[in-house]
Amino acid sequence: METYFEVLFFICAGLLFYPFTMQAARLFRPSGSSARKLANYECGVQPIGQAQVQFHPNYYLLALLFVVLDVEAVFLFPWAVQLKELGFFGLAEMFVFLGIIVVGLVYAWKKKVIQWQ
Amino acid sequence: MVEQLVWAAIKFAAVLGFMSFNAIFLVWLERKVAGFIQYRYGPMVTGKPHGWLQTIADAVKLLAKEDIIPALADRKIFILAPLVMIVPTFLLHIVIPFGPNLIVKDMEMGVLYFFAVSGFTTLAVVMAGWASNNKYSLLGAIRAIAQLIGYELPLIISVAAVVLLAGSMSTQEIVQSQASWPYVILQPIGFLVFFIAALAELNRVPFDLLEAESELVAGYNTEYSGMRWAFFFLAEYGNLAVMSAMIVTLFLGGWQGPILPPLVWFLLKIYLVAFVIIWFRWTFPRVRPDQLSKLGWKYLLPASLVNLALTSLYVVFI
Amino acid sequence: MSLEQLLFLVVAAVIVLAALGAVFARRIMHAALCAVVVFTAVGGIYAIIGSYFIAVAQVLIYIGAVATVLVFAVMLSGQKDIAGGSPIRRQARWKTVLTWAAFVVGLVMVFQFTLNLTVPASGPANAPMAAESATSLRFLGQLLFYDYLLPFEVISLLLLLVLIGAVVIARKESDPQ
Repeated sequence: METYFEVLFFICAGLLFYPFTMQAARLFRPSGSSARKLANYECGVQPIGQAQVQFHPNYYLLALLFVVLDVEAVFLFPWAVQLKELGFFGLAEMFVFLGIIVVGLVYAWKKKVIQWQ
Repeated sequence: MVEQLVWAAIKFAAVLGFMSFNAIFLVWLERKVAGFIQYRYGPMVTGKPHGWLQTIADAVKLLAKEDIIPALADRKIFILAPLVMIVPTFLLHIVIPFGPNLIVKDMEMGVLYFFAVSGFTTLAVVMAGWASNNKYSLLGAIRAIAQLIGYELPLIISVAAVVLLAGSMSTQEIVQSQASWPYVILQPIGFLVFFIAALAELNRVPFDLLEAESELVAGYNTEYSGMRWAFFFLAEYGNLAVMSAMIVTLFLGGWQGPILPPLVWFLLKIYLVAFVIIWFRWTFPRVRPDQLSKLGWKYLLPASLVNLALTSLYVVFI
Repeated sequence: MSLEQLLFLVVAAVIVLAALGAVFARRIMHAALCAVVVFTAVGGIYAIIGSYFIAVAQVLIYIGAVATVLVFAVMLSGQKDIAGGSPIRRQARWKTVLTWAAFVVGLVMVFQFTLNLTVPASGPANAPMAAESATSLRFLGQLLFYDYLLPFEVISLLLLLVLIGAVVIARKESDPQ
């Protein structure tokens, strides 16, 4: 509790700050919009269709790769803090760990995943 | 308990003040720097020496703006996105060491906490871009994801190298361990990778693809106006200051320095880094999406891994 | 009731409500974002029990990577909302009720089983001490890099498999070009 009291307080205060300011701004701002104002901006012409369409970006494989490597990166930190005590043994451990990951990375590279199509 | 609460409130107020000051000062600085780089003056009229009141006037104007939520927008997500943007910005300030004792909370996991919390920013951008139901906004959101995918890893891995040298993740201990040498000297590759990746994390030029004004109007926040837009703005400049502070903490010796008091040193370094980042904006052209992905995956990621390996060898054998 | 317990109840309530939201939301994006709330709140639970590293790692991985990719996946899929209520409601009522009942009974049994397993082993008396030592990052590193070295290395193999699997499965469709 002691450890994260400030974090908790900042979360609560931050969550309240936004609605509070929006309400306060209500005192100063005009209200009442026309349909024109509420239309989406599309360089002045009437918006055509919905924007929330299905699309197919070509880097979804990179996204999967990123998730895998992000998990791996988290393991670096407890290791990095302790390496001085772990010594050579710890070094070898992480080189094996990272080596296996790098194999995957090289594989992905060879398969041309890491490429903007 | 009550005392603790009062202290937390004071700290929150201080952080809020620092953030507001940054939003006002850094925007003014950005305009002035842009002006002088382009051989003009920038704001001059509002506030006598060099238009220093201009951003305050802008803030008042934003407060009095109508609250517009587009009819086609997904109302719930549209309203929530600025919240998801601003709360993490407050939380990021918690681990910034302004001086030997001047920190909201020194955590054992400080650095990792910082990068965990900053992950919300991309989420907020994606929420805003998607909820607006605007083509430009959606493209901005998609580019935000591409940026995250390419730059988060080099960023985290180059931080791991600093943690290796310091043997700690607490920001305060990292600063103290740089008493003799700042890590920029021991970690030139790491510093370079971190700095470039931090620019991408901040969505600053040359990595401002998600709000590229010449192609995407204003990107993810095209449909935002008035106070809701102001929150994005506040968070953006708050993040700029806080990321500069992180660069200073990790690589430039934090609050350490001769003669002047620590707080002064720290603020000087922060605004120097912020100035360099602003300078970049008016000097470098924007990268293309394919260059972005190539730079992140083919250059920065391998460089950060090599740097990590070299650093670990250094720590164990020297 | 201590403040910690109160906090736990609040966070647990958020998790349950957000999970229900994820199941019953009409728009896919709302469901995905409810799932993101669950991820975040689970990180909160870890923080409450004192596993700060796990809490931070949870937020780093689930918000920084998984949530964004999840939202991304929703964008990839069609944005058709679930028309005419969720598919659950269209099925025969009794089937739904039966499935839910079986699910709840199963859940209760799992809880019962695990409670029986763990309570005698580490009673409430031992809990504070365990929590305190688990807080320390050094203790965690000790466990990870000495005691559980093999599982740790196997994790990297698992990650490699995931990586290759993802490439093999997702690559197929784009091969022709």
